[in-house]
Amino acid sequence: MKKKIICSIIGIIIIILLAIWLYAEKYSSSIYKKPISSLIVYTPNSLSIVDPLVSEFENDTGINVTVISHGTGELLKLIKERKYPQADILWGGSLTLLNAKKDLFEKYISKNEKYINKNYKNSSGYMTRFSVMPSVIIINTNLLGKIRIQGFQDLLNPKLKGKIANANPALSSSSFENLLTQLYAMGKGNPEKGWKYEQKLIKNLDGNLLNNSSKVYKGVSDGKYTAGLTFEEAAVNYFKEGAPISIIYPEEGTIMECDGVAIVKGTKNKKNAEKFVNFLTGKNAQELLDREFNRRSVRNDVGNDNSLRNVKNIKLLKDNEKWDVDNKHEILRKYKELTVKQHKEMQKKLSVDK
Amino acid sequence: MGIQKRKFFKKEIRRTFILYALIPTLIFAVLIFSILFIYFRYMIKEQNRENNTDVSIFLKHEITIYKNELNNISNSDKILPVLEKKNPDKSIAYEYLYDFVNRCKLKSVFYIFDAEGNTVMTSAWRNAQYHSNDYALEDMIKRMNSSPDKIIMMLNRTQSGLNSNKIYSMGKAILNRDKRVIGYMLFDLVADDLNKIIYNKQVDVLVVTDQFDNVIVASNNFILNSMNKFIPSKFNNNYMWLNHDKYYYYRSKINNDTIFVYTLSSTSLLDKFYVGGLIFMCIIFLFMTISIIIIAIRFSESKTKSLYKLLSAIKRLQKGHLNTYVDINSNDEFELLSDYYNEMLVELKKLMKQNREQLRRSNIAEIKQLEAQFNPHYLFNTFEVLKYMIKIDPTNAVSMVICMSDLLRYSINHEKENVKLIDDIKYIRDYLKIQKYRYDDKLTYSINIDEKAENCIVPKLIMQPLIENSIKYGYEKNGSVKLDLNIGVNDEKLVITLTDDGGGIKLDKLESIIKQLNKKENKTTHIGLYNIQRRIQLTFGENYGMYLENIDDKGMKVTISLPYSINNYISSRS
Repeated sequence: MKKKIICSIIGIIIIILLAIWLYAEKYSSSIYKKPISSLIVYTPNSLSIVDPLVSEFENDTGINVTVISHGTGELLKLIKERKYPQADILWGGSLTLLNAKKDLFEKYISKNEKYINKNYKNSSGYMTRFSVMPSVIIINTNLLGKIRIQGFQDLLNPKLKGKIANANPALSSSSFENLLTQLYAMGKGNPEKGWKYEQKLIKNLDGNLLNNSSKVYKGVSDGKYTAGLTFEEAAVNYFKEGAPISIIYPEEGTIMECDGVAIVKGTKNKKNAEKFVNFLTGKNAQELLDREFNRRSVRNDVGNDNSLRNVKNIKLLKDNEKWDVDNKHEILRKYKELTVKQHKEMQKKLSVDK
Repeated sequence: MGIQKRKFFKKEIRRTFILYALIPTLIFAVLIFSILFIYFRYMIKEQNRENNTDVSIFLKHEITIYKNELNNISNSDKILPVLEKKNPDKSIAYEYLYDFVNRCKLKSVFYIFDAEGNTVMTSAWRNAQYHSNDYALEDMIKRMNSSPDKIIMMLNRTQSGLNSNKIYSMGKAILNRDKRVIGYMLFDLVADDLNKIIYNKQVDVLVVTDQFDNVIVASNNFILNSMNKFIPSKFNNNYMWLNHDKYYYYRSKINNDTIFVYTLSSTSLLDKFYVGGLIFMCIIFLFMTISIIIIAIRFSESKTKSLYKLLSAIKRLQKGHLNTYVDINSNDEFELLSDYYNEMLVELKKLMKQNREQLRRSNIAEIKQLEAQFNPHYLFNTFEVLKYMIKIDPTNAVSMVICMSDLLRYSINHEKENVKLIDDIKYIRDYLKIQKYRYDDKLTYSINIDEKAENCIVPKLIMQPLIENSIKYGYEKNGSVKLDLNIGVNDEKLVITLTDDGGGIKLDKLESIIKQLNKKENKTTHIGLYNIQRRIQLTFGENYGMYLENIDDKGMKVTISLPYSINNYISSRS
C-alpha cells in the first residue's frame, strides 16, 4: 500500500512538471514565429513611406514582405551578424554608409537602370539609387525674429548659441550627410578645409547633440530650437502638416545625396529581392515618391512636385564618393574629438565661473 | 459478534479520518481561499485608489502650473509688448512661451488673441488654427471678456478631418496697466497628449470628465454614450456597471469640482475566479473525500483482518483445536499479538501435556494402589485354608503352599502388568485349585477359552476378585457353588463371562451395586468388584468394564469386556 502511494505521488509530480514544461514551451515558442514571408526587408525609412510602397508591392507581386525597422547603423550591424530573421534587402541609408559596407551586399543592376538620371547611376553595381535627399536647414519661423539664416555661415550667429538642433553623425545617417555637406560647402569643394567651420559650429551648438534625427525636426517644429540640420523630406513633411517652419537650402551649396537599395549577400530569396529593387525604381513607385512622400526621384522621367524646390534654384555641390567612403571613420573620429574638446572647455568655463 | 465488531471498527476509522483530517482541511482551505479573495479585493481597491490619487495629483499639479502662468501673464514684460507695440519682435515672446510649454508635462498649444479676437501669436500648426468665426473660440472670448479677472476653463470639441478632438481650454484676459482688456491668452491642452501620459496606469478604465460628465480623457471609447458623456448604467457608492460588467470605482475631484477623475477596476474577473475556485475546490474535496473513504476502508479492513484472524483462532481454540496458530505479518501491534498468542498456545499445549502426564501417573499410582488391595485380602483367605490343610492333608498343604507362593510371586511381580490370557489363566487355575482345596466338592467350575482369545493381552489377575466374590456369596447362600468361566472374542472386544448358580442378588441391591461401581470413590464394602471396574476404566476408558445381571433366580452373570489386543496395550486413554 505504501509503495502504491509513493508511486502515485511521483506520477502526479511528473505529470505536473510535464504540464508546466509543455505550457512554457508553447508560450515561449509563440514568441519566435517563423516568418512565412518570402522577402525580409530591413529599412530605416519611416512608416509613412514604407507602408504604402510595401503594400503596393505585395498586391502587385503577391510576395509577402516582412519589414524590420531600425536606424541605418543598427541595421548594418544586424546584417553583419546575420541576426534572425536574415535580411534579403536593405532599403535606405545614405550611400556613403552603404558603400562602406559593400561586402555585405550583392551586385545587381535593376532593369530600370536606363531610366535613372546620369548623376544617380549604379556605378559600382552594388547600390541602386532609390531617392535623392539633399541636406537642408530647418527654422522655426516663430522664433526666428530678425535673425538672418540663409546658409551654414549664418548658423555661427552668437544669438543662435544653444538653439541649433543637430543629431550625432555617428548615430544618424542624415546627420552624417549634412556634416559632409557642411565640410564640402564651407571648404569650398575641399572637405579637409571645412573643419575650421565645423569647430566653430560645434561651439555654437553649446553641447546640444541629439541622438536621433527625428528629434531635430520635431524639436524645431515644437519651438525647442530655432534652427536645425536635417534632410529635405522630413522638413517638407512637417511643413506640409502645418508646422511653423521654413526650409532653407544653404546658399553655400548642398549635395544631392542619394539613399540606396541593395540586395544582401547570401539571400535565399534572390528572385523576390530583384523584383523589389525593380519595383522601387519603377515609374509608379518613383512617381509616388515625388507626389506623396516629398522625396526626389532618381528617374529622368519623373518630375518634381511644386512643393519641392526646383533643382535649378538650388546651389549644387559635387562630392567625391570615394573620398567620402574612405574617410568616413576619420570624419566621425574627428567630429567626436572636436565635440569632446568643446565639452571639456565648457566644463572648465563652468568651474571657473563658480 | 465478530462481524459486528468489524463494522464498528471500520466506521470508527472512517469517522476519525473525516472528522479530524478531511473536515478541518476543508474548513481551512475554504478559509484561506476566502481570506485570499478578500485580500485581493482589498488590494484591487487600494491599487485603484492609489492610481486615482496619482492621476489626480498629477492633473492638479499641471493645471495649477498653467493657472499660475495665466495669472502672471498680465504682468509679463515679454508678452504685453506684443499686444501694445506696433511692430513687435514676437520672437522673444515666442521663446518665452515655447520654453514654458515645453517644460510642462502636459503639452498644450498656446494662443494670444487681440481684443478683437484675432490671432496674434500661436504655436499651433497652420491647419490646426482657430478661425475667427469658430463658435468655440467666440464662446471662450466672450467668457474671458465678461470675467477678465477669472480663468476660464472649458472642454471643447473640434473637428479635424474625420477625428473629433477633445481640447481642454484654459484662458484668461490680458489686462494692461490700466486694467483694460487688451487681449486674451489661451492654452489648449490636447486630450490625446493627456492620454499618453495617463495611460500607463494599472487600472482597467480611466476617465477624466468635466463637471457635466463630458469626457476629457477616456481609456476606452466603448464606455461613452452617444453624446460623449460618461454615464454608467448603474452605480452606487463603490461600484458601477458598464456594459453589464461590474467595476469597483473611485472618484476624485480637482480644480474646484470642475474636473473629475474616475478610476475603475473590474471585479468580474476576480468574482469569476472566486466562484470558479470554489467549484474547483469542491470537486477536489469530493475527490479527496472519496479517496480518503476508500483508503479508510482499506486500512480498517487490513487491521480488522488481523483482529478477525485472532478472534477466529481463539474461538477455534475454545472448541478444542489446539493447532490453530495465527499468521499475521502486518508489522504492527497485531503481529505482536499473534506472536504472543502463538507462544501462549505452545505453553498451553505443554501444560496440558504435563497435566495429562500427571494424571496418567496418578492413575497408575491409583491402579497400583488398587492392585495392592488384592494382596492382603487374598492372603488372608488362603491362610485360612492352609490352617486346615496342614492338619488334615499335609502333603497337599505343601503343594498348596507352592501353588500360593507361585501365585503371590506372580501377583507381586510389577514388571508384568499386562499378560497374555493363556499365561494368566494358568494362575487363575492355580487360584481355583487352591480354592478347591478349601471347598472341596462344594466347588465346581469349568473354564472355556476361545482359541482366538488365547493370545489376547489382559490385565494381570483381572478375573480373580470376580471369582472370589462369586465363590464367597454363592457358598454363603447355598453352601455350594458352580462356576462357569467363558472367555471369548466379540467385536474387537475380549469378553469374560463368569456365571454362578448362587441365586443372584435382589434387584434393588443389584442396581445400587451397579451404581456404586461407577463412582469415582468406593463407598461400599464391595471392594473387589469396585477395584475391577475402576482398574478397567482407568486403564481402558469408559467403553469397557464390568456388567452384572441376574440369571432368573438361579444365579448371577458377570461380564467383563476388555479391548482385544495381542500387543501390549497402547495407552488408549490419551
